[in-house]
Amino acid sequence: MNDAWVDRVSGGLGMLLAAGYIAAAQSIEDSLLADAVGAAGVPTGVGVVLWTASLFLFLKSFKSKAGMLQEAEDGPTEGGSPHPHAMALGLLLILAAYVFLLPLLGYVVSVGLLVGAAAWFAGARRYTTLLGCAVLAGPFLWLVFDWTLEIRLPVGLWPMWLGK
Amino acid sequence: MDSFLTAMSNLASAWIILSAFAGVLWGIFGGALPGISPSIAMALLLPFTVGMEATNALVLLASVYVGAEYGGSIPAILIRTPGTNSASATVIDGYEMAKQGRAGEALGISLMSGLVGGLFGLAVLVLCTESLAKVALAFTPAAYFSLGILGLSVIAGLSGGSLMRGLIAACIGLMIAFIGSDPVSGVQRFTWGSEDLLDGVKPILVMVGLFAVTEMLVQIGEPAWANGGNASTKLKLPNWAMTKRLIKPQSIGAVIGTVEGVTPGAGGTIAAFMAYSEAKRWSKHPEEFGKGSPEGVAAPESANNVVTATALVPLLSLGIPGSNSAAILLGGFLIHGLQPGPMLFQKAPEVVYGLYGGLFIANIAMLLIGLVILSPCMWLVNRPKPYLIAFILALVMSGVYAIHQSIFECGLVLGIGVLGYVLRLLRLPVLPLVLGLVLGYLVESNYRRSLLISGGEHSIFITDPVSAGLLGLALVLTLYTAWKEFTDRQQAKG
Repeated sequence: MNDAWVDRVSGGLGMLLAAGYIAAAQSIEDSLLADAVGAAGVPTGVGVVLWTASLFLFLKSFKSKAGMLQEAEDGPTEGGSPHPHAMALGLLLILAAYVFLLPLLGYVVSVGLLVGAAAWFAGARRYTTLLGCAVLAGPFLWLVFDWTLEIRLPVGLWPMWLGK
Repeated sequence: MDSFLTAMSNLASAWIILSAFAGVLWGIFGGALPGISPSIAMALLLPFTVGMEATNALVLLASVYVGAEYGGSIPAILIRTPGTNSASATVIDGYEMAKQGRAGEALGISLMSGLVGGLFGLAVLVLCTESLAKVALAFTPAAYFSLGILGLSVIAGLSGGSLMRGLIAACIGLMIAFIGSDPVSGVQRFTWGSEDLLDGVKPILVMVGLFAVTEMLVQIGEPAWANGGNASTKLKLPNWAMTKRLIKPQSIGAVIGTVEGVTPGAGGTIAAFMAYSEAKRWSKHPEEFGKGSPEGVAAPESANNVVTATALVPLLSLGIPGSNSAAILLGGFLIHGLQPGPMLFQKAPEVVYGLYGGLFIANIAMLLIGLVILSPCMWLVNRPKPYLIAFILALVMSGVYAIHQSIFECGLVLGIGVLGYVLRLLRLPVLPLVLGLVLGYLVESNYRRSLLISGGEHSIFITDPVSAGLLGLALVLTLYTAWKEFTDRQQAKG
């Protein structure tokens, strides 16, 4: 996308966001303890500023002839993945799977799976190293957070599955 | 005088030295882990201080604070993940320098600027506690509001040349800040019935999401780092020419850190961002900022390390803890039967002077420990990219869970990471968003409190002298930035 299109999309999305936000702010219930400004007052003001700035950016995009001609450098980087957004989405899915599995499989197993899956997805293909990292990551980070910092980490459903 | 001499003799005490070194080491470890704030790192040690002698215990806790504030800059520079809120401004140029294979230089500048800031802050604490306490007392809600506006006025300098884009990003930050309970009436806002959002969205979650998760989502599609595996892991301390160049940004950071530190509730994050913006404004090379400027690392690091000492001014002189970390230190005082405030200097001067001495040793400890651990840290981030990405994500997600043991917050950070990715695609600057987020509560709550006090009269912001001065300064800075942007554009057009 060139600069003008980026401005246009940013401005358009900003105006939509501002409109939705102002509507959400207006639906905030008033309290008996409310002051003159109220709980909705400042958020509404911020919504108006956002809408105005977005409108300015949107209108500016039509004026910017130079920007229309200038191609921005947001294609794939040389040597990188030809589909960077798909790669980002893939990594995001791995992270989402980690968040989903954490309460089920517990911290040690989930982190091990996260490290293994993320490293493989990023291009690691030495399977012995990969396996070693995945197996050791959980116990190592558990030692740091649970044992050293005394932050209790989820154990998952293992106690139930093992009948404890 | 006797107390002072006693305190000086305490400096040679093995227990004080041990407490300072142990505290700094623990603090750097905690500060470098995303999600472990300085106050959490201090709180974890609080139970262990019960059986200790009062001065040793307080030196231990204060040293953790010093170490943690410094430690936050290490992951900020090396992996674009601020370990603490106040290290966010260091990310901008520190990470750029690391990407250019100058991580050793950036870490060296950060270390020395932290030392300069810490020692300057200590000097201010020792010499000016009494007079600066009056400044803290002069801050009414109106003045706090204006302080927030002054903070927001630096948005123009952080917008990467487009004020409108910066304004949009700042509004998004403010919108995130307004999630949760209303500061005056307690009404729920933008929580959509979720109990997890009642307390709002913690700034550290947004920063970790915006910086670390977003960076990993971008890096996964990029080629391996050009310097990965081959980059130097040697720490490079500033030479004489660089030291001279850094004097100005460090001084700017020191002054701003002093003002923000003595103001309860302001804190190191605002100080770091303001110092960054002002260092850019007064630099001979403003065009280098955002592209790996050494001054862009020196100013925020100096500012947030000054705050580690000056934040103790209102605590020691008035008994007011101006930050979470100061509140933990207050707990340390109370555990040992000491009540910070004006009488502390009469009742237990040896403890106060001992703490001053301990802070001096803590800063020296920070330098020595930094010299030892930074090269291994650089070696770690030069490991093959796939494993590095995997371990950064594991560390980040573990740190996020550690904050409140909340699965919801882990998911929230992923959502914020996606937001950061979209902002990058739309070329919206992230820093104004962070500033809006950090200042949102300060601005709104004090704006409304001021109007409650004045019966709805906005003139309170002008009639209060401190408020008027801060608003005037904000206006001058905004006009100056707008004028400079205009003249730069005219020059560019030729």
